[in-house]
Amino acid sequence: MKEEELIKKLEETKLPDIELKSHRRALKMALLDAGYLQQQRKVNILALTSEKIIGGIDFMLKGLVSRQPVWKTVLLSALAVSVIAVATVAVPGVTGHADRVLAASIAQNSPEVKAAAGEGIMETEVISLSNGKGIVVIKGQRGLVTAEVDLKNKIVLGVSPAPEFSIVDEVSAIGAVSNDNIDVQRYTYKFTVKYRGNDRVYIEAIEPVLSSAFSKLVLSGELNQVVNEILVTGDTIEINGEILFNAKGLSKSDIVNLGPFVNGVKVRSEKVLNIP
Amino acid sequence: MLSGDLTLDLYLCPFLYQQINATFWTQVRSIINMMDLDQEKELVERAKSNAEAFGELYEKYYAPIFGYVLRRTASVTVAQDITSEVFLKALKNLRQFHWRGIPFSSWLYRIASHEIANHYRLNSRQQVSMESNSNSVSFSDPGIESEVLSAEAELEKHEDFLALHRNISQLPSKYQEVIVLRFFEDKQLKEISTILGKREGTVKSLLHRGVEKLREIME
Repeated sequence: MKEEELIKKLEETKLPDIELKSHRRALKMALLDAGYLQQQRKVNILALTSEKIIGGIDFMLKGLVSRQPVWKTVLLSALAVSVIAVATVAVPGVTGHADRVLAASIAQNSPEVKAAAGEGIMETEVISLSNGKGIVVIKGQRGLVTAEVDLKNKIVLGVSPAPEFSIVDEVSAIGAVSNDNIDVQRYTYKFTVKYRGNDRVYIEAIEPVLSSAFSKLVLSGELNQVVNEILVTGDTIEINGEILFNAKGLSKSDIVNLGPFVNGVKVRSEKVLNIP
Repeated sequence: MLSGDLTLDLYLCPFLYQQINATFWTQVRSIINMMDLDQEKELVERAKSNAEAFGELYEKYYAPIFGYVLRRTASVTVAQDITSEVFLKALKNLRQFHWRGIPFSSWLYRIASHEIANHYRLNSRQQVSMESNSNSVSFSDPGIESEVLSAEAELEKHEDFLALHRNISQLPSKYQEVIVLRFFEDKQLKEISTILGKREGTVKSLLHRGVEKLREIME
């Protein structure tokens, strides 16, 4: 056989073009359920700093747009923002990064947590830190558990089963809609909700649950947000929006005392069954 | 009517028309490819943390990768196992994939080539089977078994391909992969060189020697 003939044969041989639909579908599900795509919360110093600075700026702006601008508060906030920015570059522990590591370490090494989650801990995530305490979600071989840890005494205060959905991030701010009309205030919010269940879940809609005191003052704002997405374990979704509320006759402290404005987030979901 | 005159002149000079036409379409193709690559780059970045985007990539490349492995191994069950390994490895290492002008598809083909080589190496040593790999993706689906049986039956019908494959499989792996990529997957030398991480000249000479060796086997 000549080389040209062989090349022609190679080029012209009819090739099998076989499709395995069931394998394709089953493999896709197995891959997506394997947990490699879990979105990791970015716990880096700059991200934490930006959160804190934004929070500080919000607080500073609140002082400026309040009924009676509180210059002392504004100046202190501005100073705090600067200190955080400088300290973050100079002393990384200031941002709470060290506290996160400590909280995770306390939870991971706790016998109570190991008993509840199983010895083989696969994932640890610190979802909140405040007043020397932290909430840590641990994924072990037996399932998900939430541990409350005391950073000062380095102990676990309690362990409970972790919910499939949890709020892992929250940013909110309040300010007057305009300088001419401070009777109408705007509450803006952003919540990040993380799904940790084992099954795929279809999220139809999500909405913040307002406190009863706050809901009586609401003037406008669409709460229900259509999502229509399928989530696998580790996925996060964000909900954000703004609510205008009536602040007529309320002083700044009255408004602050209204809080918490949101008690939680309502998620409307359905489990997704795999096609056999 | 400048454009009419130009068209007429080009028709009168078929060679020139062919050349300009070919250049034009090459440029169009390269622009489309660049656009595709940009979109793919963005999709790959999203797929690093987003299941939906990864699903999109998977849907796009499952058939080409399965087809490539099938045409390399001529076995539906082996192709099924290796394809699973390829996508599992891609998923596990996606965060380490950095776009340096190498298309995602080339990366997948490269993983597939490694997995095929591993498969043959492990089988020749008879030490470990694919099923015993603790990192492999496992799932049970009764539909798959019957699907594999009918796919094997379909494969049996391609007698010419199977005969050709028997000869190709006698070649060293380095020749097998360039021949399959060039003639069965219709890849250009440049793309093969990207997939295999070899210089274009090396691929060209591997192809030439591979075809020559195949001819000797077939004689």
